[in-house]
Amino acid sequence: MVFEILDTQIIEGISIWSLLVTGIIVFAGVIVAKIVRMIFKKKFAPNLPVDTVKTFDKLIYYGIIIIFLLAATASQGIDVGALVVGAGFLGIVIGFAAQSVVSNMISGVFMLIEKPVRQGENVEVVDVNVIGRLIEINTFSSKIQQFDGTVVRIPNEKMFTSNLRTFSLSEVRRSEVSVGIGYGENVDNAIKTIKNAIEKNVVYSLMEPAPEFWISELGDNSVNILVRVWHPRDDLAEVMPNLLKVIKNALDDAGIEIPFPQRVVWKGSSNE
Amino acid sequence: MNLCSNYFIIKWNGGCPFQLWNNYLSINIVINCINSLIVSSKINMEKNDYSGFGQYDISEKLELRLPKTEINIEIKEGNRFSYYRKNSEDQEIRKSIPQSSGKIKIELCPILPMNLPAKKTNDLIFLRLAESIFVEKKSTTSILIQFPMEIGIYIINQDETKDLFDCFTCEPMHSRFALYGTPEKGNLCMYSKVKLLEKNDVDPYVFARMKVDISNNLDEGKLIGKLVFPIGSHNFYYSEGSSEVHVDDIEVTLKQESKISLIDIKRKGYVNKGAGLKLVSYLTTDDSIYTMDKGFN
Repeated sequence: MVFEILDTQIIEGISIWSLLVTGIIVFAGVIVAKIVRMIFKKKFAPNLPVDTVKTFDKLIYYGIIIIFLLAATASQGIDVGALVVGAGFLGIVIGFAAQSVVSNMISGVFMLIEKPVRQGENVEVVDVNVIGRLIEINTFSSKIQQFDGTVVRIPNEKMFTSNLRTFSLSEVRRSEVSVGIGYGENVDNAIKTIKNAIEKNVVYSLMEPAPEFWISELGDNSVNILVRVWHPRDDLAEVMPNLLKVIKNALDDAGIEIPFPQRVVWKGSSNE
Repeated sequence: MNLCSNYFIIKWNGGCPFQLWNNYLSINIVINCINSLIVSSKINMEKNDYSGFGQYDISEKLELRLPKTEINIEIKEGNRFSYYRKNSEDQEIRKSIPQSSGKIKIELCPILPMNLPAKKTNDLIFLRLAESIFVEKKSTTSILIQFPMEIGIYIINQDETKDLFDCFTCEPMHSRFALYGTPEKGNLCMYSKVKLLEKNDVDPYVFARMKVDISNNLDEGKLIGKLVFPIGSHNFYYSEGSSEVHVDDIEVTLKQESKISLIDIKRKGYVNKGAGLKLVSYLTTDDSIYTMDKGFN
Protein backbone atom coordinates (compact mmCIF):
# COMPACT_ATOMS: atom_id res chain seq x y z
CA MET A 1 0.00 0.00 0.00
CA VAL A 2 2.72 2.42 1.07
CA PHE A 3 4.92 1.43 -1.88
CA GLU A 4 2.03 1.99 -4.25
CA ILE A 5 1.60 5.51 -2.89
CA LEU A 6 5.32 6.17 -3.16
CA ASP A 7 5.36 4.93 -6.73
CA THR A 8 2.55 7.23 -7.75
CA GLN A 9 3.66 9.43 -10.64
CA ILE A 10 2.97 13.13 -10.00
CA ILE A 11 4.02 14.13 -13.47
CA GLU A 12 5.68 11.94 -16.03
CA GLY A 13 8.97 10.55 -14.66
CA ILE A 14 8.59 12.15 -11.23
CA SER A 15 7.15 9.99 -8.49
CA ILE A 16 6.54 10.76 -4.83
CA TRP A 17 9.45 8.42 -3.99
CA SER A 18 11.89 10.30 -6.24
CA LEU A 19 10.74 13.60 -4.75
CA LEU A 20 11.22 12.19 -1.25
CA VAL A 21 14.74 10.98 -2.10
CA THR A 22 15.52 14.35 -3.66
CA GLY A 23 14.25 16.07 -0.54
CA ILE A 24 16.41 13.84 1.69
CA ILE A 25 19.52 14.51 -0.43
CA VAL A 26 18.86 18.27 -0.41
CA PHE A 27 18.29 18.11 3.35
CA ALA A 28 21.62 16.30 3.69
CA GLY A 29 23.10 19.03 1.51
CA VAL A 30 21.78 21.71 3.88
CA ILE A 31 23.37 19.90 6.83
CA VAL A 32 26.70 19.52 4.96
CA ALA A 33 26.54 23.21 3.95
CA LYS A 34 25.97 24.23 7.56
CA ILE A 35 28.89 22.10 8.76
CA VAL A 36 31.23 23.47 6.06
CA ARG A 37 30.06 27.01 6.85
CA MET A 38 30.75 26.41 10.54
CA ILE A 39 34.26 25.10 9.80
CA PHE A 40 34.90 28.09 7.50
CA LYS A 41 33.79 30.52 10.20
CA LYS A 42 35.99 28.91 12.84
CA LYS A 43 39.12 28.20 10.81
CA PHE A 44 39.36 30.84 8.10
CA ALA A 45 37.00 33.72 8.91
CA PRO A 46 39.06 35.24 11.76
CA ASN A 47 41.87 36.04 9.31
CA LEU A 48 39.68 37.56 6.58
CA PRO A 49 37.96 40.93 6.24
CA VAL A 50 34.33 41.01 7.40
CA ASP A 51 32.82 41.65 3.97
CA THR A 52 34.88 38.85 2.36
CA VAL A 53 33.70 36.48 5.09
CA LYS A 54 30.07 37.36 4.40
CA THR A 55 30.50 36.85 0.65
CA PHE A 56 32.27 33.50 1.01
CA ASP A 57 29.81 32.42 3.65
CA LYS A 58 26.90 32.84 1.25
CA LEU A 59 28.79 31.33 -1.68
CA ILE A 60 29.75 28.23 0.31
CA TYR A 61 26.31 27.72 1.80
CA TYR A 62 24.23 28.15 -1.31
CA GLY A 63 26.87 26.57 -3.58
CA ILE A 64 26.81 23.28 -1.62
CA ILE A 65 23.02 23.22 -1.53
CA ILE A 66 22.83 23.78 -5.32
CA ILE A 67 25.38 21.00 -5.92
CA PHE A 68 23.35 18.60 -3.76
CA LEU A 69 20.14 19.67 -5.50
CA LEU A 70 21.65 18.95 -8.93
CA ALA A 71 23.03 15.63 -7.67
CA ALA A 72 19.63 14.72 -6.28
CA THR A 73 17.77 15.52 -9.48
CA ALA A 74 20.33 13.65 -11.58
CA SER A 75 20.19 10.58 -9.29
CA GLN A 76 16.42 10.41 -9.64
CA GLY A 77 16.53 10.73 -13.40
CA ILE A 78 14.83 14.09 -13.41
CA ASP A 79 15.69 15.76 -16.71
CA VAL A 80 17.57 18.87 -15.64
CA GLY A 81 18.19 19.86 -19.25
CA ALA A 82 14.49 20.31 -19.84
CA LEU A 83 14.26 22.22 -16.58
CA VAL A 84 17.17 24.45 -17.60
CA VAL A 85 15.56 25.18 -20.97
CA GLY A 86 12.31 25.84 -19.20
CA ALA A 87 14.09 27.96 -16.63
CA GLY A 88 15.84 29.85 -19.42
CA PHE A 89 12.57 30.68 -21.06
CA LEU A 90 11.07 31.53 -17.71
CA GLY A 91 14.17 33.62 -16.98
CA ILE A 92 13.60 35.76 -20.04
CA VAL A 93 9.99 36.33 -19.07
CA ILE A 94 10.93 37.10 -15.48
CA GLY A 95 13.87 39.19 -16.64
CA PHE A 96 11.60 41.51 -18.57
CA ALA A 97 9.10 41.58 -15.76
CA ALA A 98 11.62 42.06 -13.01
CA GLN A 99 14.38 43.97 -14.76
CA SER A 100 15.22 46.12 -11.78
CA VAL A 101 15.36 43.14 -9.43
CA VAL A 102 17.88 41.37 -11.65
CA SER A 103 19.77 44.61 -12.15
CA ASN A 104 19.99 45.09 -8.39
CA MET A 105 21.22 41.55 -7.94
CA ILE A 106 23.93 41.88 -10.59
CA SER A 107 24.95 45.30 -9.21
CA GLY A 108 25.29 43.70 -5.78
CA VAL A 109 27.61 41.03 -7.21
CA PHE A 110 29.72 43.69 -8.97
CA MET A 111 29.89 45.74 -5.80
CA LEU A 112 31.20 42.74 -3.90
CA ILE A 113 33.82 42.21 -6.63
CA GLU A 114 34.87 45.84 -7.15
CA LYS A 115 34.51 46.87 -3.49
CA PRO A 116 34.21 50.63 -3.99
CA VAL A 117 33.42 50.72 -0.28
CA ARG A 118 33.72 48.08 2.39
CA GLN A 119 31.25 47.15 5.04
CA GLY A 120 31.77 49.17 8.21
CA GLU A 121 33.22 52.18 6.39
CA ASN A 122 31.71 55.65 6.18
CA VAL A 123 30.39 56.62 2.77
CA GLU A 124 28.41 59.38 1.14
CA VAL A 125 26.14 58.33 -1.71
CA VAL A 126 26.21 61.66 -3.47
CA ASP A 127 23.28 61.14 -5.87
CA VAL A 128 20.81 60.34 -3.12
CA ASN A 129 22.44 62.56 -0.51
CA VAL A 130 22.89 59.85 2.09
CA ILE A 131 25.87 59.86 4.46
CA GLY A 132 26.56 57.13 6.96
CA ARG A 133 28.22 53.81 7.70
CA LEU A 134 27.72 50.98 5.23
CA ILE A 135 26.41 48.16 7.37
CA GLU A 136 25.41 45.55 4.80
CA ILE A 137 25.45 44.70 1.12
CA ASN A 138 22.60 42.27 0.49
CA THR A 139 21.41 40.53 -2.67
CA PHE A 140 19.20 43.38 -3.83
CA SER A 141 20.03 46.34 -1.63
CA SER A 142 22.60 47.91 0.64
CA LYS A 143 21.96 49.36 4.05
CA ILE A 144 23.57 52.56 5.31
CA GLN A 145 23.21 53.64 8.89
CA GLN A 146 23.11 57.43 9.03
CA PHE A 147 24.69 59.26 11.93
CA ASP A 148 21.28 59.93 13.47
CA GLY A 149 20.85 56.16 13.85
CA THR A 150 18.31 55.67 11.06
CA VAL A 151 19.05 53.06 8.41
CA VAL A 152 18.57 53.83 4.72
CA ARG A 153 18.06 50.97 2.28
CA ILE A 154 19.46 51.79 -1.13
CA PRO A 155 18.89 49.47 -4.13
CA ASN A 156 22.22 48.05 -5.27
CA GLU A 157 21.78 49.42 -8.79
CA LYS A 158 21.45 52.97 -7.48
CA MET A 159 24.38 52.44 -5.15
CA PHE A 160 26.54 51.01 -7.93
CA THR A 161 25.78 53.75 -10.47
CA SER A 162 25.99 56.64 -7.97
CA ASN A 163 29.02 58.73 -7.19
CA LEU A 164 30.39 57.44 -3.90
CA ARG A 165 32.43 59.67 -1.62
CA THR A 166 34.47 57.57 0.76
CA PHE A 167 36.87 58.48 3.52
CA SER A 168 38.66 55.19 3.90
CA LEU A 169 41.71 55.68 1.67
CA SER A 170 43.29 58.15 4.05
CA GLU A 171 43.66 57.87 7.81
CA VAL A 172 42.83 61.55 8.21
CA ARG A 173 40.40 64.07 6.80
CA ARG A 174 39.98 67.81 6.93
CA SER A 175 37.09 69.88 8.23
CA GLU A 176 36.63 73.61 7.98
CA VAL A 177 34.64 76.38 9.55
CA SER A 178 34.47 80.08 8.83
CA VAL A 179 34.59 82.77 11.48
CA GLY A 180 34.34 86.55 11.09
CA ILE A 181 36.21 89.13 13.15
CA GLY A 182 35.74 92.88 13.27
CA TYR A 183 37.61 95.16 10.85
CA GLY A 184 39.24 96.87 13.79
CA GLU A 185 40.85 93.69 15.10
CA ASN A 186 44.41 92.51 14.52
CA VAL A 187 44.11 89.51 12.18
CA ASP A 188 47.42 87.91 13.22
CA ASN A 189 46.48 88.14 16.88
CA ALA A 190 43.07 86.60 16.18
CA ILE A 191 44.66 83.72 14.23
CA LYS A 192 47.17 83.11 17.01
CA THR A 193 44.36 83.08 19.58
CA ILE A 194 42.29 80.62 17.56
CA LYS A 195 45.31 78.37 16.88
CA ASN A 196 46.23 78.16 20.55
CA ALA A 197 42.65 77.44 21.54
CA ILE A 198 42.30 74.65 18.96
CA GLU A 199 45.59 73.04 19.97
CA LYS A 200 44.60 73.10 23.61
CA ASN A 201 40.95 72.18 23.47
CA VAL A 202 40.20 70.25 20.27
CA VAL A 203 41.96 67.05 21.26
CA TYR A 204 41.37 65.25 17.97
CA SER A 205 42.80 68.09 15.88
CA LEU A 206 46.15 67.02 14.41
CA MET A 207 49.20 68.93 15.60
CA GLU A 208 50.87 68.18 12.26
CA PRO A 209 49.62 69.21 9.74
CA ALA A 210 48.71 72.11 11.96
CA PRO A 211 45.41 73.99 11.58
CA GLU A 212 45.43 76.33 8.57
CA PHE A 213 44.01 79.83 8.46
CA TRP A 214 42.98 81.68 5.32
CA ILE A 215 41.43 85.08 5.03
CA SER A 216 38.60 83.91 2.82
CA GLU A 217 36.72 87.15 2.40
CA LEU A 218 36.64 90.82 3.32
CA GLY A 219 32.92 90.68 3.99
CA ASP A 220 30.30 93.36 4.46
CA ASN A 221 30.60 93.29 8.21
CA SER A 222 33.63 91.18 9.04
CA VAL A 223 36.97 89.84 7.99
CA ASN A 224 36.18 86.17 7.41
CA ILE A 225 38.79 83.61 8.40
CA LEU A 226 38.56 80.07 7.08
CA VAL A 227 39.82 77.61 9.70
CA ARG A 228 40.90 74.22 8.37
CA VAL A 229 41.59 71.42 10.80
CA TRP A 230 42.88 67.92 10.09
CA HIS A 231 41.67 65.09 12.29
CA PRO A 232 41.42 61.27 12.29
CA ARG A 233 38.91 60.33 9.59
CA ASP A 234 36.27 58.86 11.91
CA ASP A 235 36.25 61.71 14.38
CA LEU A 236 34.21 64.29 12.52
CA ALA A 237 31.53 64.09 15.19
CA GLU A 238 34.14 64.76 17.90
CA VAL A 239 35.67 67.77 16.15
CA MET A 240 32.97 69.73 14.36
CA PRO A 241 30.50 70.34 17.22
CA ASN A 242 33.39 71.51 19.39
CA LEU A 243 35.33 73.62 16.93
CA LEU A 244 33.10 76.69 16.66
CA LYS A 245 32.47 76.66 20.40
CA VAL A 246 36.21 76.66 21.14
CA ILE A 247 36.85 79.46 18.62
CA LYS A 248 33.99 81.60 19.94
CA ASN A 249 35.11 81.20 23.57
CA ALA A 250 38.73 81.96 22.68
CA LEU A 251 37.82 85.13 20.79
CA ASP A 252 35.51 86.24 23.60
CA ASP A 253 38.22 85.65 26.19
CA ALA A 254 40.73 87.63 24.13
CA GLY A 255 38.25 90.47 23.68
CA ILE A 256 38.22 90.07 19.89
CA GLU A 257 34.97 91.20 18.36
CA ILE A 258 32.83 88.84 16.30
CA PRO A 259 30.64 91.37 14.47
CA PHE A 260 27.11 90.86 13.31
CA PRO A 261 25.26 92.75 10.58
CA GLN A 262 24.23 96.22 11.68
CA ARG A 263 22.17 98.78 9.88
CA VAL A 264 22.38 102.47 10.67
CA VAL A 265 19.13 104.34 10.01
CA TRP A 266 19.47 108.08 9.50
CA LYS A 267 16.37 109.99 10.28
CA GLY A 268 16.10 112.99 7.98
CA SER A 269 15.25 116.36 9.58
CA SER A 270 12.00 118.06 8.46
CA ASN A 271 13.93 121.35 8.06
CA GLU A 272 16.22 119.98 5.38
CA MET B 1 64.15 83.27 64.92
CA ASN B 2 67.73 82.05 64.78
CA LEU B 3 68.99 84.84 66.98
CA CYS B 4 66.28 84.24 69.44
CA SER B 5 67.07 80.54 69.71
CA ASN B 6 70.76 81.30 70.02
CA TYR B 7 70.14 83.80 72.75
CA PHE B 8 68.31 81.30 74.86
CA ILE B 9 70.94 78.63 74.36
CA ILE B 10 73.80 81.00 75.20
CA LYS B 11 72.06 82.17 78.32
CA TRP B 12 71.55 78.60 79.41
CA ASN B 13 75.17 77.57 78.74
CA GLY B 14 76.79 80.49 80.54
CA GLY B 15 80.69 80.64 80.94
CA CYS B 16 83.51 83.10 80.01
CA PRO B 17 83.14 85.48 77.01
CA PHE B 18 85.59 83.50 74.85
CA GLN B 19 83.84 80.26 75.70
CA LEU B 20 80.56 82.00 75.06
CA TRP B 21 81.75 83.09 71.59
CA ASN B 22 82.89 79.55 70.81
CA ASN B 23 79.62 78.18 72.06
CA TYR B 24 77.77 80.72 69.96
CA LEU B 25 79.68 79.76 66.83
CA SER B 26 79.26 76.01 67.27
CA ILE B 27 75.59 76.31 68.18
CA ASN B 28 75.02 78.65 65.26
CA ILE B 29 76.56 76.12 62.89
CA VAL B 30 74.33 73.35 64.27
CA ILE B 31 71.24 75.53 64.01
CA ASN B 32 72.14 76.56 60.49
CA CYS B 33 72.57 72.92 59.59
CA ILE B 34 69.19 72.10 61.10
CA ASN B 35 67.61 75.03 59.26
CA SER B 36 69.15 74.00 55.96
CA LEU B 37 67.91 70.46 56.57
CA ILE B 38 64.40 71.77 57.21
CA VAL B 39 64.55 73.91 54.05
CA SER B 40 65.90 71.07 51.92
CA SER B 41 63.30 68.66 53.25
CA LYS B 42 60.67 71.28 52.48
CA ILE B 43 61.99 71.47 48.92
CA ASN B 44 61.94 67.69 48.73
CA MET B 45 58.38 67.66 50.01
CA GLU B 46 57.39 70.14 47.34
CA LYS B 47 59.16 68.14 44.69
CA ASN B 48 58.20 64.73 45.95
CA ASP B 49 54.83 65.44 47.40
CA TYR B 50 53.39 63.17 44.76
CA SER B 51 52.81 59.46 45.12
CA GLY B 52 55.53 57.27 43.70
CA PHE B 53 55.11 54.53 41.16
CA GLY B 54 54.77 51.03 42.55
CA GLN B 55 52.37 48.62 44.19
CA TYR B 56 49.88 49.58 46.90
CA ASP B 57 47.90 47.29 49.20
CA ILE B 58 44.55 48.80 50.07
CA SER B 59 42.39 47.55 52.89
CA GLU B 60 40.60 50.77 53.85
CA LYS B 61 41.63 53.89 52.02
CA LEU B 62 44.31 55.16 49.68
CA GLU B 63 44.90 58.66 48.40
CA LEU B 64 47.25 59.18 45.48
CA ARG B 65 48.41 62.62 44.48
CA LEU B 66 49.88 63.24 41.04
CA PRO B 67 50.34 66.45 39.06
CA LYS B 68 46.89 67.81 38.16
CA THR B 69 45.32 64.55 39.30
CA GLU B 70 43.84 63.24 42.52
CA ILE B 71 42.89 59.63 43.13
CA ASN B 72 40.98 58.22 46.05
CA ILE B 73 40.21 54.58 46.64
CA GLU B 74 38.22 53.62 49.71
CA ILE B 75 36.21 50.68 50.90
CA LYS B 76 32.45 51.05 51.11
CA GLU B 77 29.78 48.84 52.57
CA GLY B 78 29.66 45.29 51.32
CA ASN B 79 33.39 45.02 50.50
CA ARG B 80 33.04 47.35 47.53
CA PHE B 81 35.97 49.59 46.68
CA SER B 82 35.05 52.97 45.32
CA TYR B 83 37.52 54.53 42.89
CA TYR B 84 37.47 58.26 42.24
CA ARG B 85 39.77 60.30 40.00
CA LYS B 86 39.68 64.02 39.34
CA ASN B 87 41.85 65.73 36.76
CA SER B 88 42.91 69.31 36.18
CA GLU B 89 39.83 70.04 34.08
CA ASP B 90 37.62 68.99 36.99
CA GLN B 91 36.46 65.90 35.16
CA GLU B 92 35.51 63.19 37.61
CA ILE B 93 35.79 59.48 36.96
CA ARG B 94 34.12 57.02 39.31
CA LYS B 95 34.45 53.27 39.19
CA SER B 96 33.62 50.46 41.55
CA ILE B 97 35.48 47.27 42.44
CA PRO B 98 33.50 44.65 44.35
CA GLN B 99 36.03 42.49 46.20
CA SER B 100 35.04 39.61 48.44
CA SER B 101 38.39 39.50 50.26
CA GLY B 102 38.02 43.07 51.53
CA LYS B 103 41.39 44.22 50.22
CA ILE B 104 42.92 44.91 46.84
CA LYS B 105 46.35 45.46 45.44
CA ILE B 106 47.03 47.98 42.71
CA GLU B 107 50.05 49.09 40.74
CA LEU B 108 50.60 52.66 39.66
CA CYS B 109 52.99 52.63 36.73
CA PRO B 110 53.90 54.35 33.47
CA ILE B 111 52.33 52.94 30.32
CA LEU B 112 52.82 53.58 26.63
CA PRO B 113 51.18 56.74 25.31
CA MET B 114 48.71 55.03 23.02
CA ASN B 115 45.38 55.11 24.83
CA LEU B 116 44.46 58.78 25.14
CA PRO B 117 42.40 60.57 24.00
CA ALA B 118 41.46 57.33 22.20
CA LYS B 119 43.32 54.33 20.83
CA LYS B 120 43.49 55.00 17.12
CA THR B 121 47.02 54.58 15.88
CA ASN B 122 49.02 51.57 14.82
CA ASP B 123 51.41 52.10 17.76
CA LEU B 124 53.39 54.80 15.93
CA ILE B 125 54.68 57.80 17.81
CA PHE B 126 55.72 61.11 16.27
CA LEU B 127 58.23 62.96 18.44
CA ARG B 128 58.74 66.54 17.24
CA LEU B 129 62.05 67.74 18.62
CA ALA B 130 61.82 71.22 20.11
CA GLU B 131 65.35 71.80 18.77
CA SER B 132 66.43 70.15 15.54
CA ILE B 133 69.67 68.21 15.80
CA PHE B 134 72.42 68.63 13.25
CA VAL B 135 74.37 65.42 12.73
CA GLU B 136 77.65 65.80 10.90
CA LYS B 137 78.48 63.51 8.01
CA LYS B 138 79.91 60.09 8.90
CA SER B 139 79.52 60.71 12.60
CA THR B 140 77.75 59.27 15.61
CA THR B 141 76.23 61.01 18.58
CA SER B 142 73.95 60.31 21.54
CA ILE B 143 71.25 62.47 23.03
CA LEU B 144 68.72 62.18 25.82
CA ILE B 145 65.17 63.22 25.04
CA GLN B 146 61.80 63.29 26.71
CA PHE B 147 59.44 60.45 25.93
CA PRO B 148 55.75 60.99 26.76
CA MET B 149 53.93 58.53 28.95
CA GLU B 150 50.51 57.83 30.28
CA ILE B 151 49.90 56.52 33.77
CA GLY B 152 48.11 53.25 34.29
CA ILE B 153 46.46 51.76 37.31
CA TYR B 154 46.51 48.00 37.25
CA ILE B 155 44.51 45.73 39.52
CA ILE B 156 46.74 42.88 40.64
CA ASN B 157 44.80 39.64 40.73
CA GLN B 158 45.38 36.88 43.28
CA ASP B 159 47.43 34.91 40.75
CA GLU B 160 49.64 38.04 40.29
CA THR B 161 48.29 38.74 36.80
CA LYS B 162 47.44 42.37 36.12
CA ASP B 163 44.47 44.03 34.47
CA LEU B 164 44.53 47.64 33.35
CA PHE B 165 41.84 49.36 35.38
CA ASP B 166 42.31 53.00 34.48
CA CYS B 167 44.72 55.17 32.54
CA PHE B 168 45.19 58.90 32.39
CA THR B 169 47.71 61.58 31.62
CA CYS B 170 49.00 64.36 33.82
CA GLU B 171 49.52 66.59 30.78
CA PRO B 172 46.76 66.27 28.15
CA MET B 173 48.72 68.44 25.70
CA HIS B 174 51.02 65.46 25.14
CA SER B 175 48.15 63.15 24.16
CA ARG B 176 47.61 64.42 20.67
CA PHE B 177 47.68 63.09 17.10
CA ALA B 178 49.75 63.92 14.02
CA LEU B 179 50.13 62.62 10.52
CA TYR B 180 53.46 61.33 9.28
CA GLY B 181 53.51 61.74 5.52
CA THR B 182 50.92 63.11 3.15
CA PRO B 183 47.16 62.90 3.69
CA GLU B 184 46.94 60.26 0.91
CA LYS B 185 49.72 57.99 2.12
CA GLY B 186 50.47 59.15 5.64
CA ASN B 187 50.22 57.30 8.92
CA LEU B 188 48.32 58.53 11.92
CA CYS B 189 50.61 58.74 14.95
CA MET B 190 50.49 59.77 18.57
CA TYR B 191 52.25 63.13 18.85
CA SER B 192 54.36 64.92 21.39
CA LYS B 193 56.72 67.86 21.23
CA VAL B 194 59.78 66.88 23.23
CA LYS B 195 62.87 68.59 24.55
CA LEU B 196 66.44 67.47 24.74
CA LEU B 197 67.43 66.61 28.30
CA GLU B 198 70.50 67.30 30.37
CA LYS B 199 71.81 64.47 32.51
CA ASN B 200 69.77 65.33 35.62
CA ASP B 201 66.65 66.77 34.02
CA VAL B 202 63.43 65.03 34.95
CA ASP B 203 59.83 65.79 34.25
CA PRO B 204 58.08 63.29 36.48
CA TYR B 205 54.74 61.72 35.58
CA VAL B 206 54.67 63.34 32.15
CA PHE B 207 57.90 62.26 30.48
CA ALA B 208 60.26 59.34 30.71
CA ARG B 209 63.88 59.63 29.57
CA MET B 210 64.97 58.09 26.31
CA LYS B 211 68.48 57.76 24.93
CA VAL B 212 68.84 58.16 21.19
CA ASP B 213 72.01 56.92 19.49
CA ILE B 214 72.34 58.59 16.11
CA SER B 215 74.75 57.61 13.38
CA ASN B 216 74.94 59.43 10.09
CA ASN B 217 76.21 57.25 7.25
CA LEU B 218 75.59 59.96 4.66
CA ASP B 219 78.20 62.09 2.95
CA GLU B 220 76.59 65.26 4.22
CA GLY B 221 75.40 66.62 7.53
CA LYS B 222 71.65 66.46 8.16
CA LEU B 223 69.11 68.10 10.45
CA ILE B 224 66.75 65.81 12.31
CA GLY B 225 63.58 67.52 13.46
CA LYS B 226 61.32 64.57 14.14
CA LEU B 227 61.45 60.90 15.03
CA VAL B 228 58.67 58.51 14.07
CA PHE B 229 58.74 54.88 15.15
CA PRO B 230 56.56 52.07 16.53
CA ILE B 231 56.45 51.85 20.32
CA GLY B 232 54.40 48.69 20.80
CA SER B 233 57.38 46.74 22.12
CA HIS B 234 59.02 49.47 24.18
CA ASN B 235 59.42 48.83 27.91
CA PHE B 236 59.40 51.30 30.77
CA TYR B 237 61.72 51.03 33.77
CA TYR B 238 61.06 52.67 37.12
CA SER B 239 62.20 52.21 40.70
CA GLU B 240 59.56 51.61 43.37
CA GLY B 241 58.42 54.76 45.16
CA SER B 242 60.18 57.01 42.67
CA SER B 243 58.84 59.08 39.82
CA GLU B 244 61.81 58.81 37.49
CA VAL B 245 61.14 56.63 34.48
CA HIS B 246 63.30 55.35 31.66
CA VAL B 247 62.20 53.84 28.40
CA ASP B 248 64.06 51.58 25.98
CA ASP B 249 66.66 53.39 23.88
CA ILE B 250 66.53 53.73 20.12
CA GLU B 251 69.18 53.49 17.44
CA VAL B 252 68.80 55.99 14.63
CA THR B 253 70.72 55.47 11.39
CA LEU B 254 70.70 57.97 8.55
CA LYS B 255 71.26 56.30 5.20
CA GLN B 256 70.72 56.77 1.48
CA GLU B 257 68.44 54.65 -0.71
CA SER B 258 67.59 55.47 -4.32
CA LYS B 259 68.98 58.99 -3.86
CA ILE B 260 66.61 59.59 -0.94
CA SER B 261 67.85 60.12 2.59
CA LEU B 262 66.08 57.85 5.05
CA ILE B 263 66.24 57.07 8.71
CA ASP B 264 66.19 53.56 10.14
CA ILE B 265 65.01 53.31 13.74
CA LYS B 266 65.52 50.27 15.91
CA ARG B 267 64.57 49.63 19.52
CA LYS B 268 67.42 48.89 21.89
CA GLY B 269 67.01 47.72 25.49
CA TYR B 270 67.66 50.36 28.16
CA VAL B 271 71.40 50.20 28.78
CA ASN B 272 71.46 51.01 32.51
CA LYS B 273 68.73 48.67 33.63
CA GLY B 274 69.62 47.21 37.00
CA ALA B 275 68.18 44.84 39.54
CA GLY B 276 66.40 47.61 41.44
CA LEU B 277 64.35 48.74 38.49
CA LYS B 278 60.83 47.49 37.85
CA LEU B 279 59.90 46.72 34.30
CA VAL B 280 56.61 47.57 32.63
CA SER B 281 56.67 45.25 29.70
CA TYR B 282 54.31 44.60 26.83
CA LEU B 283 53.76 41.28 25.19
CA THR B 284 54.82 42.23 21.67
CA THR B 285 58.52 41.93 21.09
CA ASP B 286 58.82 43.23 17.58
CA ASP B 287 62.41 44.35 17.11
CA SER B 288 62.15 44.99 13.41
CA ILE B 289 63.60 48.17 11.91
CA TYR B 290 61.20 50.98 11.07
CA THR B 291 62.19 53.18 8.14
CA MET B 292 61.22 56.83 8.13
CA ASP B 293 60.85 57.30 4.39
CA LYS B 294 58.61 60.36 4.40
CA GLY B 295 61.11 62.91 5.67
CA PHE B 296 62.66 63.65 9.04
CA ASN B 297 63.02 67.41 9.32
